[in-house]
Amino acid sequence: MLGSLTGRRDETGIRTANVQTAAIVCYHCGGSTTVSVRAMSASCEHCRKSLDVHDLVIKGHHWGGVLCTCGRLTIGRKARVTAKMAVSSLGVDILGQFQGLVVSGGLVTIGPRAQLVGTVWAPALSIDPGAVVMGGPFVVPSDPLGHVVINSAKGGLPVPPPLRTTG
Amino acid sequence: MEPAGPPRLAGRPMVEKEHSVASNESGVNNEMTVIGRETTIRGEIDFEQSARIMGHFEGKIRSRGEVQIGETAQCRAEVDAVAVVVEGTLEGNINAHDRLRIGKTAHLTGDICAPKLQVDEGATFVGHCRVGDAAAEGIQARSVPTAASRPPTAPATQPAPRTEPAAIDFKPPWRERAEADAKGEATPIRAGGNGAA
Repeated sequence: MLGSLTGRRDETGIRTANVQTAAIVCYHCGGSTTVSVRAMSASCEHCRKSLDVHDLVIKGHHWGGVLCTCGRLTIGRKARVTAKMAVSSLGVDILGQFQGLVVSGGLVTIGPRAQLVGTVWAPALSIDPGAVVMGGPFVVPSDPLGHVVINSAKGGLPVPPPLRTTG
Repeated sequence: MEPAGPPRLAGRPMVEKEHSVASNESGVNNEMTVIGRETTIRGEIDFEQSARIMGHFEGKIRSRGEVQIGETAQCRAEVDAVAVVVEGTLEGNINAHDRLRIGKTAHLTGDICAPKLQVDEGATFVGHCRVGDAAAEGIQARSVPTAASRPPTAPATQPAPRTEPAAIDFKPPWRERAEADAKGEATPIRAGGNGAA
């Protein structure tokens, strides 16, 4: 994420900060939160859970756990990742090997040399020719984060975190 | 003097072309059978070469060439062909021996098996995937029978048994938990997630 934090003095001489902000989607509850574009982590305004805001790039080996980010998740060309689940609010780029469940709020791109074994839930999917894909079900398009539905069903109140990121 | 040809009425030929020559993705000009957009066919159909379906079809499609499901097509069929291009609506499983392309206007519900797969952004796809070398080996074991070796097919008036796509009974774990919480039931957290074998 690119951005700047610029400070300048107003008429009263008090230094004020002009912060560029961005809206992120919580991967716990699907609620929208406004943060600075330079933020690396934040807490959701709705469920108070901590969020990783930065983009996640994996270039090596990774095993186990849940990969969560409010930005984009990129599995590098030489990466070998085995995870329970990969959750990304903006989208996922798979260029290497990935095994697990992919849940994305944006486009999922599977590169020409990628190997994917697992499941994809995403609004859009793009597979380049040459990719090796096994498993399923692939549900495209879908709204796996379900931020609109969950919040409206509860009348805008904070909802219990449906996604466990620990353990 | 005009050359002799089929009689014309109001600028349109009286006899519709049953075959048209078109080039497929490989760039080779093949004779292609086209099923028009106002045509409905039920049963089993075999193409020795390429085919393009623009209308309604229910049953089974086999081809030794490329099968194109056009944008206007509404198919509920099991497709077995060398190459398949889906741009319309298809419910059923696809077995492609060489390649499968799912276009951006496609609505595909069913399982797919192909050595090479290309999915354009914007496509709708619900089903299981088997793509790569393992899929190629599996397909070769179930090769397309030739017309001579194939047993006589049922008459065209008898509809083929409908093959439903594999039922998908899957919910993300947090959805299940959210539903359980809405009902007031406390469910244990699943340790394994789903899909990450």
